[in-house]
Amino acid sequence: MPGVPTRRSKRIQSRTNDGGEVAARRFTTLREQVSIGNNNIEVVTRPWSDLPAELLSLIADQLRLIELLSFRGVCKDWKAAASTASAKIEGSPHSEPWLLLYGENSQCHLYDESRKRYTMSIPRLDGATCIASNQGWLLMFVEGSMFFYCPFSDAKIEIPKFPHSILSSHAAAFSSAPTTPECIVAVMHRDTESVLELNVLYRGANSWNKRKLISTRPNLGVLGSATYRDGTFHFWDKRNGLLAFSVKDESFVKYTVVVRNELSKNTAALPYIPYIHEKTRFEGNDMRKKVGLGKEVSVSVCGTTVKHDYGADRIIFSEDIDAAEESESRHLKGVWIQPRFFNISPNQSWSV
Amino acid sequence: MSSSSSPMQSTGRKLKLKSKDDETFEVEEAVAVKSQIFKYMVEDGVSNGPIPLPNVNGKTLARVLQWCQKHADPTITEDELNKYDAGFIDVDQAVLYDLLMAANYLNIEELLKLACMRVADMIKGKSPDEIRRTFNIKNDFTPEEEEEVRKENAWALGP
Repeated sequence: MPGVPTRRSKRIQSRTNDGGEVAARRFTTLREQVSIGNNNIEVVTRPWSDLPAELLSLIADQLRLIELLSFRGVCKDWKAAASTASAKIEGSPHSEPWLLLYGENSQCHLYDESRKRYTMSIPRLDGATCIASNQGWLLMFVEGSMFFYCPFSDAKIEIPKFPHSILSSHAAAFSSAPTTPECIVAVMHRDTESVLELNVLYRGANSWNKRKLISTRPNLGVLGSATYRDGTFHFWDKRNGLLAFSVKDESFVKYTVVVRNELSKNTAALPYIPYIHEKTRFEGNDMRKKVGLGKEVSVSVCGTTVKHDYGADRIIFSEDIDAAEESESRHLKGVWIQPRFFNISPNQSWSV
Repeated sequence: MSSSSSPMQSTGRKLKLKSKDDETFEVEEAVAVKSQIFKYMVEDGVSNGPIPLPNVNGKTLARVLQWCQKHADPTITEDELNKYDAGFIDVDQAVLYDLLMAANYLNIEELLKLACMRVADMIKGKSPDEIRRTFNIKNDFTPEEEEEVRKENAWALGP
């Protein structure tokens, strides 16, 4: 007596014309053939568990972070096939970064683009401060020690110690993922009122290259962001100052930034740099209220760059939000981060 | 039994294809070359006999060719194409699987991506257990591996 159809199986009509012959096919043990009278009816689902690895990888590539985590939890083959998937969705309008709040204890709060809240325990962030965030990688600083970190996969890559153990008034950026051979890190910080210091680290190098810059008038104000594009690091202050550092020439150029105005003849003649500035994302969107931060809490939020396939990239500036009342009793740190999952091998290091 | 795709405006050469269950199809070259396999065959000069496709059954091949036809049509707008694709891929699991395997075998990049995205959609919002039940996949993690995965995912998927 043939077996009983499983709960998930479907009855379908016989697919051939001669009314009965079943095409030969590999079946998993969960699919059974049911015989009713003289007709053999296929009760069948497809062998999804036999899907070739390259197709599984293609599917995994379409998944966003949470779904990718589920995918990895299905079975060994699926987990293996997902090893190269990083939750990067190409051409996505949903590339808005998430907000990660940390710094009080290991319990961190994460807000996705719909402001849904998750709670994560991330011990590696204890005592550390994020000084740059780009496409899912964070650059962390803790008393001079530095490392790249992906909080969702717990991937960590240590880099040579920074020449200073305290970093205030800074802006930092890295040119590409720390797993790429051409990754360059640049950290600018204010040494004195008129002196800015730039430190640059090349992939594979054992130490940082220091370049001091004495900023002459117009002075660069409070640093707000750093970005990288086509061989040049840009350091933006929170008003309209820009310092461009060319990696190849090791030279600086100062600019005053003007927002391009289509109607103005003046701006049309100026060199154009394709960025959009978002300087008050946290404050301007009333995030304090939306994430339920009390008035006694102050927050330092590290910005990021939102890449757009067409048109200008959008720079989310770093913000320092004061407590809304006199007595500040809690200080949190935050960072805008793209939800990505990076698998790295155990011997992945900064050396090439 | 054989089917023909409806003729395109230009009269190009036709390719003859034979599915694993012996259905034969005639299709314009311009349509067939959506498949990289056929593209190379056409470029290399293909014989007159029908091309056997032992990995694709007739029903699936008919669907695939219909898709190729639509995507080779120069008069169709992108909006219409997107709408068509959405309807085309809204099929049950068995058909989806067959389309996925056929698009892979015939190397039709856009159709493959469409099918993969549909599978991804079916995965959305599901826990690993729900995914296993949907696709009839056996959980072959050891208890230790299972525990490790659960811990890694707890923040996102719950304990």
